[in-house]
Amino acid sequence: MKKRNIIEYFGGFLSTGIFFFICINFIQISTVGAQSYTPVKDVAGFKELFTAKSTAINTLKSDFVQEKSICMLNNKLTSNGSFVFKKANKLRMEYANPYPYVFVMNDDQILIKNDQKMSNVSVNSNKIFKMISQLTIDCVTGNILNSKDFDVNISENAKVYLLVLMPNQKMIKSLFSEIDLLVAKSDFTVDRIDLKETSGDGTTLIFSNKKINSPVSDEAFSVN
Amino acid sequence: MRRFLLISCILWFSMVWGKLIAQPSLPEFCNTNDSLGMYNITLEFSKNTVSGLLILKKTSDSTFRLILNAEMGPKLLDMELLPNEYKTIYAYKKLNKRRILKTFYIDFASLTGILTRNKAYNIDYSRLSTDFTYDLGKKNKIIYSSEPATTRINSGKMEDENSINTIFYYFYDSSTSGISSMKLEHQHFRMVILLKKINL
Repeated sequence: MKKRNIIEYFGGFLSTGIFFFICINFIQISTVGAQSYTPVKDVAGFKELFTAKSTAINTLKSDFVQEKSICMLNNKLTSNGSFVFKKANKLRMEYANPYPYVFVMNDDQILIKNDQKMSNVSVNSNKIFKMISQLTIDCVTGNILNSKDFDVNISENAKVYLLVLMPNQKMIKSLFSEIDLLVAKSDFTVDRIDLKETSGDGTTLIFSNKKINSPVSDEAFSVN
Repeated sequence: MRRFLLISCILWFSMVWGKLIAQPSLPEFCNTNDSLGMYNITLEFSKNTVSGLLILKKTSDSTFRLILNAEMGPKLLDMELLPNEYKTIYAYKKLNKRRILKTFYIDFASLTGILTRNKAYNIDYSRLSTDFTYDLGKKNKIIYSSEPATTRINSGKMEDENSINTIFYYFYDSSTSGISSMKLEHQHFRMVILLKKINL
């Protein structure tokens, strides 16, 4: 009985989320990186253009820097690596520093590889990874704008669009209070993702050296 | 002559009693300069695997702050480990169950030695290993073991009157002699915690 209960509890923790959400009704003018933004007037036009541009992305390769802010620590924890996306649902994030770690999502299969071990797991058994990787893919592909899981506020400055996503889906809301995207006006790709957690911590992903529609082998997404 | 005998007696007693009151030498889990220890954690339970970052901060001689982050983002658990209890600062909703938190507490408090801080123990030299046994009450015991040739602890187990509940191992860096990794394995259900020290 004891054994079963513990397994149920642990299994359950990855199954669903909770309602814990800081409601921000709207953002007229927001500031990210000390730059001011004004609301986009033609939201429908932006969505159409963003979706069209994103739909044309079949593959995307880039470098990334991940900055993790933890309330308890004075300094941010920084890691970096490479990011590869391939339509429709393939993602590879390979961390090079501070320690090697590979995360691959290929449809409903996930591969996690570090120097301790390699694990193949189904997305159904790791819903947090599934959620975060799907979020990342949706951000990159522009699907996020059509997602019912978020309310979106869009503003802009001369170089970028700022998309402020307020989650309304249970599991996402249990972990994130807000997700901000910076989208480059030049090619409508995502420059930066800010994941603001309900705990007060946060994670920022900054993309650079982006290569759109360059050849990407399916081998990169092998989960075997 | 009296002085010589006195010094000899003191030396003899200190050698004998020094051995008898030897402290189990658990590894330093945090860096001395910032009291922080960072570990790559892989947690397997049932059919699930979570990997991420575990941060330990030594907040006093007998307390640790523990933060568990999923690899690609959010914080899942933030708790304080004390000798007889834990305080939850933040827990992801699905982790925020007493049974889960208590399991985490006992596992990490066993590994870090918080659970046995300032408690009495017995030493058994009769086996191949030197065993330090702590009676935690309610027929629960923690036993840390070291190789006879060394003073550092390289394994431990937690048991009750019927069986062993967890077994854990410490692995040391051969160049620095500091902790390099740890493994804790539950015996009654499938849960394994693997920790590897990282330097950020």
